[in-house]
Amino acid sequence: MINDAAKGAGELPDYAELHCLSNFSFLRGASHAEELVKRAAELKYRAIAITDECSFAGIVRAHGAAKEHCIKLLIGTELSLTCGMKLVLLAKNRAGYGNLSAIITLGRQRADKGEYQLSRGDLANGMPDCLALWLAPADAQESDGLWLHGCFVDRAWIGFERHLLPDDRQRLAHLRAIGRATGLPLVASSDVHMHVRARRPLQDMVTALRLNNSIDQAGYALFANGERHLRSRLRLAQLYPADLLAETLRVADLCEFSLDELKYEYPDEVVPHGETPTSYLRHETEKGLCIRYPSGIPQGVREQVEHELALIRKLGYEPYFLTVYDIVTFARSHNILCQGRGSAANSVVCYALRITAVDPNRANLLFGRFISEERNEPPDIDVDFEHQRREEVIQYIYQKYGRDRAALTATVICYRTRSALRDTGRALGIDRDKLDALTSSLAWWDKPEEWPQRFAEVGLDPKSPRVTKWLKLAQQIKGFPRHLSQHVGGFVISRGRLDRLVPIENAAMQDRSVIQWDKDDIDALGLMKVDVLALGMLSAIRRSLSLVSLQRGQSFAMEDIPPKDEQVFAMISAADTVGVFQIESRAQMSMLPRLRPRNFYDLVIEVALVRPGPIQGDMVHPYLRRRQGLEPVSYPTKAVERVLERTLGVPIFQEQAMELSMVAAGFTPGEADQLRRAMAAWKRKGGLGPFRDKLINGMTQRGYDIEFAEALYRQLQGFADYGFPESHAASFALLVYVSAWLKRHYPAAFLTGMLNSLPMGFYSASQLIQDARRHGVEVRPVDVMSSGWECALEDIGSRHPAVRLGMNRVSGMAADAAARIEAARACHPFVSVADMATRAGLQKRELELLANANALSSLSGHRRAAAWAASAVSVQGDLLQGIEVEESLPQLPVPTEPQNLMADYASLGFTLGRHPLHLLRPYLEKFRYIRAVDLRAMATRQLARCVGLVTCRQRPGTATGVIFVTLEDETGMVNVIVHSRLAVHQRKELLGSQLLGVLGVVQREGEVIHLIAKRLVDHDSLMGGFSVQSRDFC
Amino acid sequence: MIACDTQATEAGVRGGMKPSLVRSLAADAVILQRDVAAEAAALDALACWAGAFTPRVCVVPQKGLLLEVGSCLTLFGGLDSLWGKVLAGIRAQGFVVRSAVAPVAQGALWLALVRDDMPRVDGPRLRPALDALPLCDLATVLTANVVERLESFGLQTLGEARRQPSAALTRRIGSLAMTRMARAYGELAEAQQEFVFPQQFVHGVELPAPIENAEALLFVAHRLVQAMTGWLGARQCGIQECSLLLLHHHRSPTAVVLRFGETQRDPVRIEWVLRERLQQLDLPAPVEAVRLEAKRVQPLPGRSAALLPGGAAQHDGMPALIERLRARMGEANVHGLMLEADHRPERNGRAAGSGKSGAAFAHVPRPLFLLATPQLLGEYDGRPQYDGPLLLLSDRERIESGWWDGGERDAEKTCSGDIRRDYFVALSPSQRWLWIYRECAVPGGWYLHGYFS
Repeated sequence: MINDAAKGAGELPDYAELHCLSNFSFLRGASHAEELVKRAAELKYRAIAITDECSFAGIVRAHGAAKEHCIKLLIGTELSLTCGMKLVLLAKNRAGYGNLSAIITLGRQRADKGEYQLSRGDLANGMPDCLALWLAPADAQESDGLWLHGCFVDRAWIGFERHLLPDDRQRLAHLRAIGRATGLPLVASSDVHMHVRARRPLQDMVTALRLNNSIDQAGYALFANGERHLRSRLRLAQLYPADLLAETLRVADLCEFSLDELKYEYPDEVVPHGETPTSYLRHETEKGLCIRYPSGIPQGVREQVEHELALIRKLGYEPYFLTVYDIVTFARSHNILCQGRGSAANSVVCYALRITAVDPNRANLLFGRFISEERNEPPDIDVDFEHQRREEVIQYIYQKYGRDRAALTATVICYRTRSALRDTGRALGIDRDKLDALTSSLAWWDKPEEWPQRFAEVGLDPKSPRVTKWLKLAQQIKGFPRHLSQHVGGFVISRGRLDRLVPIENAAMQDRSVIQWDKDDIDALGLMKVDVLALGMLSAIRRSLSLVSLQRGQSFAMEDIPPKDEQVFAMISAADTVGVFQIESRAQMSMLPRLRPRNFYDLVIEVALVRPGPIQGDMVHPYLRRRQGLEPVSYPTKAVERVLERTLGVPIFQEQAMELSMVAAGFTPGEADQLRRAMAAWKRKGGLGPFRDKLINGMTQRGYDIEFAEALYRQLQGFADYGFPESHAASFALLVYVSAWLKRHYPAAFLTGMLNSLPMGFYSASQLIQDARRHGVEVRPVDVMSSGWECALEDIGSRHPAVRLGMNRVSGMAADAAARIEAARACHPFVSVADMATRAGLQKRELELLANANALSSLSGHRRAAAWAASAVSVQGDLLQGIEVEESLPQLPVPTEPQNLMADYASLGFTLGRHPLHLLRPYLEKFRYIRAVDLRAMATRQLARCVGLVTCRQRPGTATGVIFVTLEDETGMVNVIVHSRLAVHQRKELLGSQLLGVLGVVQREGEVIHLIAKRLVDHDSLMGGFSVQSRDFC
Repeated sequence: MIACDTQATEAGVRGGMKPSLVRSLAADAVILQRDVAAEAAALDALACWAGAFTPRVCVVPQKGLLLEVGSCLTLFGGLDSLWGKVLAGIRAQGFVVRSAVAPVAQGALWLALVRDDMPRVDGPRLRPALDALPLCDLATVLTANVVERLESFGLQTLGEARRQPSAALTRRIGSLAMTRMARAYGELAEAQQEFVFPQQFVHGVELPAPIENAEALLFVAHRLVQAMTGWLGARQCGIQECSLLLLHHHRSPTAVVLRFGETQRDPVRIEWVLRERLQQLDLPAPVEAVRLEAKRVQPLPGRSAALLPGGAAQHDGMPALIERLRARMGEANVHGLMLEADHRPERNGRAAGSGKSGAAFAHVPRPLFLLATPQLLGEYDGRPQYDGPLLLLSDRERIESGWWDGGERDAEKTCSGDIRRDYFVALSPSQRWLWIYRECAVPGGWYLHGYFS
């Protein structure tokens, strides 16, 4: 009989919740794991189990919260077997945890992403060291109970869950009877889906989303009431018989496992037989140092090495460095260019192991944040590889360690504002059209005062109950996990079986597997992660370097590039940096002439100062003002001066923020590291708020005046938006220097390397080619008689080789067809299109592509004649192959220059002929448009009219609404700034034109010239059928 | 983006744009999904309607209609008059039309697809008219591949293409395209698939937005009536009865049955009757689609004795009973029970048209008779009263649901909103089994919601 009578509060029975789903049971649970754990602690539960459906994805967060709120956490999982039986399995100890992890892995790897499949047979081994709760249905069968009892001898219970449904009483009686017949004891549990009752609407909402249904159509799929929350012990005492409540404690006491027991062990095969990790790391480091410093190791470097090695030994990190070393060595042996970055990467040890190429001597770096002992932080090295060859490295890792020991880290994809509004709105039946209109831009979201207007525009009343509910639910669901995706390249590798440490599931991508934990989880548990990332510029540099080697007749590598080349810095200072790594964007290029970098460290600052993507509008960075001498450089104390000296008193790097917080505000290293994490995850988590008082109080107590403290806090805050670690900036700066050096001294090789590595970076092939030609590089067209698949250098012996464009520039062309052409041509040159088609085994389609690209001109004249010839060639396997047919001659018009130009753009995306604007110039002069080159002679506030092809529209991520537009004409580029009022007013012209005229006012600062738009004119009608693609970053 | 109106064109909207771009150009533009099936149905309906002019109609899927009018010019007083009627008729049905008249059907189609000036060309002028067509507009009839290839030769018009040596051109674009060109020029006889007028006439239209005004339905019905009378004309028939079904969301459709004293084919007359009926009609819910069905189709000249009034076929069984009950007790007082999947009892069982089955009952005790409005019960000594103190027979059943439709929606849908109640089965001193509940929210209170007996 259910005990419905209230009991006195003093004798409330204890309770442990054994069945509880977090929102990692996607679209089932309606609370975060942290919320559940916190609430259970508030209700003074004895313990709480997090039992997400076939998942451990939420347990690390729950573990953190459980420690914080001092409550016992049980680890388990809910499983629905294929026979329909539903169980909760709990881990008794480490071995049980491993078994659970393995069974989740098994179930997940059998099914598609997001699904799992397990049957009774999979549990037949009895799942040692695990406990089982049978979530028996109302019509539970005795035979099922007997099977379970046989399988989990004395480790199985029948879970009775009461949610105030009409059949509660009969169900309990039935389960009691089955318990007596099978010998399975009964235990109370609650099938918790939310931490408080108030989440009922959200729980209904996620149910509807799971079923892909609207909420009022979800019907009985919704729960009848909100009882699936963490109920007070008073309520539980009223709902459950005392013996069932007491049994929860017995179960909880049997579970003794904590995630703290997980011991991660580094893989051991990176050390050869007979060596210890310590001895091997020392050996390899010494070997590397001798190569790096052939003329003797400088004293400072020697001391640094000893310090680093001692620290590594103390923390036992040798296998980590050796693992990265192994991967990098593999890449190098396969001629895959790579470079490490990250706090641990900028060390002499990494330099010696050739993980990085930044010479610590040259870079003037402080290796303060190498690895800190106090912070107990796992070392962090990201390695960038050539983007087109990273897969080889990934497959090497899988091969070397096996799929049961290596897997990618997960990235938890969460609801963001847009997806939250969309999904909840759809389930609430808000019109799709209105939803689209509202969510196409989210500028309104952060400004509730604008809501009435925005909503009224689409015909919704923001105060109506439905809209109020919608916004509230969207707010709640934001941040909820939606699914697990694969991290861009974070590998976790373990010594033993990884699937006994953390469940592994299939990724959406073929042949990839991901663990159920993300980067933060791994950090929290101290697992080793190696980031294997892809970087396009490395591909371009590797290609360029091998061409330079050809040109110089000897092998030439990154290390051989002279470190301080004045010409390179002069070129960078003049913002002549199209194609150069990182400093090629509009924002960077406008910064360069003001910054005028003179040495490598200036580049490190430049990289950190302006991050790609959002920049701070028209703001002139205080560092820049100080550098230009417009603002005095001062320091409040010596201590601060030491930290900020290298950046003229302005904090630029994350490392400086941390040092400052320690030096000036008395943070411990651990707290400083939390500050760093808060900055790194600024967007994701609450920001710097929690640190504000501590920072400011700490500084005023140490005698800094309040103005300085406030100013510094503001700087840190602003900087958290784009703050960048110095250790990463240094590695990137090296690539900046290397690519700039190649562009300056070997422009043809650089262009070739870039073109063959596309798509990457900021510029299109057209822009790269035009820039190279302006620098005197001869670019030769695609030609089946000379071109290979890739672009290549011709006349290599001469001072200025030419670039021969490859067939990879022809849109739609396939590499293997190009390879066949090269092979056939090597036997002997083609005599006709038919000859080429036959010998290279080409399809009609490929011939047409080549004809349209004008690549057949040496065989059959102009492109139209070529197309005519190509389209009649009988292809391989054709009965008529090789039979020449006598044909009467067609009357084909010779293409005009504009027609050729149009065909070039359609097929290649660029032209080697004259620029389209050149042809249009006579018309454009009537409108009094001037050329980009003429604009350079104009002064500030002069009126000017420019016109050009729109090659880029970019909206920096600030609220001011400014849009940058880049126009291209036959003489170069014009940088246009469109202010928000004009943008709204002339939206059509701004977004819709390909050939845009701008009437505006010149604004210049030194070499930097902008045209501030006052009026926009759409000249598309002049272009005929011609079309260019703008690269839009709005 | 496939097509847009003039306002959108003025705002800069063009075919082929993405919806997001369209929205940024014209924020208040209404974007509709293309519905190919609806297009095909409209074309079929038009074909039926065209039967009023000519028995030889041909539907070219996704492109248009071909009408053979040469043989019926005298009937309509010459081409000008006939063509004027055809175009006006199509426009009156709310369509935008492009047309061409030519001695060759395919040639006329090609002209109509490319030119928007309604050209009418006679024999000798067909060739130059076709020669001038730009190739880039002919992708729908020649396929995009063929057009792309011809353009790669530098050819811009159909004429230029035709001037190339024919054997050489055939090798390059294939004989199918060559045949198509020859058909358009009338050099090859064409084999058109003639439109077969259906045996029965049932045509429907999905409305772009729900209509609540009966008057507005007339416009939609107009198209359907036109189509039906065209179809009747082609079959030399008339009707004595037709029905217009108005379909609603989650509700049985409303049928408007029109009966005529004598066999009818005159659209004006049919629409007049329809207008009368629609004006009287009280729409129970917005209409989402309409369907017109011709019934009792008769050859127009003759009359059959079997169809005299009073001689109607006998209905038997249940439907007849319901018809009679309804006639006696009024439409509103006879209804079936419809079960809706909703945890809230008042939403769970709702009156609906007869013969409509909904979701199955949840496996829980529910009284068959629910009060329309729960009745507040007195409370004494903490116990609810109904003819004296009630005895609670069951454990409580908690129902908390419905937060999503609280406080809005139009009046016609009963809106129960979010409820939070504990239900009990109770026995009254007078031995009645009751279903009662207590409000969970403060201040609580007991209510009677239904009777088991």
